[in-house]
Amino acid sequence: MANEKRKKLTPVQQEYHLFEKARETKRPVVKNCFRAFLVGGFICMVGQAISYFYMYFFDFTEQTVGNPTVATMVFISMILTGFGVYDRIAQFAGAGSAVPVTGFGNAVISAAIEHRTEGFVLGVGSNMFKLAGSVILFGTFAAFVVALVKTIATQWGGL
Amino acid sequence: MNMRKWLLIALAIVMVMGGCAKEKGVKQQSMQGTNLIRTNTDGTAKRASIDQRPAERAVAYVRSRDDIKDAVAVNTRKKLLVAYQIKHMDRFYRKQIEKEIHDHLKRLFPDYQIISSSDLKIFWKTKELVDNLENKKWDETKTNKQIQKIKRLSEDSA
Amino acid sequence: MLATFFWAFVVGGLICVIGQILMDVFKLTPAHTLTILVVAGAILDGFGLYEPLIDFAGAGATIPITSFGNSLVHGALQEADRHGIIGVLTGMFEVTSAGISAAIVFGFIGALLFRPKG
Repeated sequence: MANEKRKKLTPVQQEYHLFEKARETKRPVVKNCFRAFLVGGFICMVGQAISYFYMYFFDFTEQTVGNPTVATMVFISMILTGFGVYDRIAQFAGAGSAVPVTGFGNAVISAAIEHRTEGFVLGVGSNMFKLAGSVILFGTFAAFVVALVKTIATQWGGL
Repeated sequence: MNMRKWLLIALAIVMVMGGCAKEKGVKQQSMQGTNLIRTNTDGTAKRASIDQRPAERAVAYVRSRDDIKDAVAVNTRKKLLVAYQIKHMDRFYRKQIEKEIHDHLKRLFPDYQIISSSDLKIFWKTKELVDNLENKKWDETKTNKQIQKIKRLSEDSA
Repeated sequence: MLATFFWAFVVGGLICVIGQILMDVFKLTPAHTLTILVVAGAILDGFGLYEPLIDFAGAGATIPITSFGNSLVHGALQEADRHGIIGVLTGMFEVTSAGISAAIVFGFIGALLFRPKG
């Protein structure tokens, strides 16, 4: 809580604040990290299995298998989100389920499902990227800058 | 209640994973079996109708490198197709290794068009081709066509 | 092949741990965390470091959101190679399209199929 805000509180409130702070559960960082590691690693391993599947049965190479794998993972994420399973995984895993593309898919898909009652254009259409929009925006802009700098450096800087 | 549901979901995922993994393992095993029968472990087709000595030399060179796990090769009169697997800890340097091997092969076989790749898919495909040659199922035109196909596949980038 | 699974697990897990640390220790929201990771992926690819990681860890590097930034840069650079500086703009989504288009398509299908809960 900000300092100026605290000054406005009555003494009783301040007392309560200290009381609350002392009893606030500390975030179990190590435990959370361990869970994130396990679940995140597991999701990536599933992804690896899917990419081997595509390589074995279809004409995808190690270089090209990424796209169908990502699409499949997002599909799985849709199913899990639709049945409400993904939210439970997220409760347990934290970043372990948010960082893989399935988390990105979950953000888009859950927003789409949630706003369905507001209609498909105004609800689903305009709210779909509410959460994922920032990822796309900053990802795209950062990529633009990086690629621009690199292109200029290699073409005119003779790097 | 919550916990039990959780366990059920986890169990389901593990089961699906297990099922898929097992299938794959079995498939691989059976593939290994056929390889034992049909081909020797040299990575080239010894009994093919086309002279495979260049391919043998290429495999010998690639295998002599200590960052390579396995290699297979096929050649026709004009083309030499080499596929290999890089040891896992050296995969960070895949690009350099690929370039080194490609350049070296070019120097070793100036008369051949070299196609080389470290890709696992290309490795599988080349191995299949070696098996087909070994069993004398395939003649040169067919082999050339397949090599061309593999080449196009290897040039696909993400 | 087993080694690939192992390293996919470890590398993918570690990237998630970085995300968890950003969320827990630096008290960032998930949206901020993901944004930082995407930008980090783009920058790493700028230095040519992300591609070797993919070679090494396979899906462990392509599944985390960091690869989104990486593939954006990759598409842009590929096009820039072919068409010069304007390619940076036109090629951006060349490689990445899979993730986003899948999310859009499946998101909409999901909205058609499933009903919001509670």
